[in-house]
Amino acid sequence: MKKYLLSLALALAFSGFALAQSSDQNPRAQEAYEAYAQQTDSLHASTLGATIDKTYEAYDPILIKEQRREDRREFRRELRLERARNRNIFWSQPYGYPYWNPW
Amino acid sequence: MKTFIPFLLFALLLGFSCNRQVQRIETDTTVDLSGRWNDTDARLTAAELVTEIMGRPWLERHVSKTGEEPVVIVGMVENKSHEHIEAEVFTKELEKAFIQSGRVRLVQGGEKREQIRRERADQQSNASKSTMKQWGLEVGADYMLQGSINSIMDAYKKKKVIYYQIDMILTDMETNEVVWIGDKKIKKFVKN
Repeated sequence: MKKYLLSLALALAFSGFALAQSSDQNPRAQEAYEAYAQQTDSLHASTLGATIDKTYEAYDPILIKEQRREDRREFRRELRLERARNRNIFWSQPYGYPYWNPW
Repeated sequence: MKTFIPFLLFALLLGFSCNRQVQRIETDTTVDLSGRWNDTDARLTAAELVTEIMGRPWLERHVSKTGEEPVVIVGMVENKSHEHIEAEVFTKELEKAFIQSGRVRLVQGGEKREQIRRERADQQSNASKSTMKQWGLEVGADYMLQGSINSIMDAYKKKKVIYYQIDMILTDMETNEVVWIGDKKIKKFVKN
């Protein structure tokens, strides 16, 4: 009796699976699903409806000039600060040549 | 009294030199300042893509095949340009067009979907039995909308030409078939 019931249950399960499977479906569809199901993580959710930045830096002569100007300004500012910090030892002269101040 | 006059003049000068002016303008007004990607570009892109996606045969084909409105999920938009461009500005317009037309259904994706699922999980232990929502009844999307943004810049001395191309693709989730491709091309000439 038990064997009969078991075989009936197996037959029903198999027929259900066969019905669920479309006639043209790849027989290894379950394998493919399992391979992807393991990869599911929060990373996938973060890419949906989002903009992923893969930007590049374009060559723009005007921006490069501006950057150089900004760099020079920054350098001069640093130089002034450095001179101000060390003015007890060195007294700055025109043309940027320091000399020793004994007082 | 005379000693206060220079101070008064200085205060007036300071006041006039810092008078920033802010005025409200219409959101469809074109204001080009730097030549970079701006709101007008986003608006033009959205308008073109909405017209394109709603007027193409993929929609009718889906309805005639299944008898139901297609369900769309918005996927990733890759920004491969040289500027920061937020695609959500125009993808939201597309989503709005889907909902307002009533011909395309939309399912939530990304972080928002995660939040909804977390709330549903919370309901399982905190909401009453009659009001808590069930698991496993979400609507599966038929199509995914993805896109990419590309740009090319050519500059010489004080002149530059910037070209943007925004491509959106709609793909069938089951068959991987691309059912619609829409694009918007924008070209700008900037003289400094």
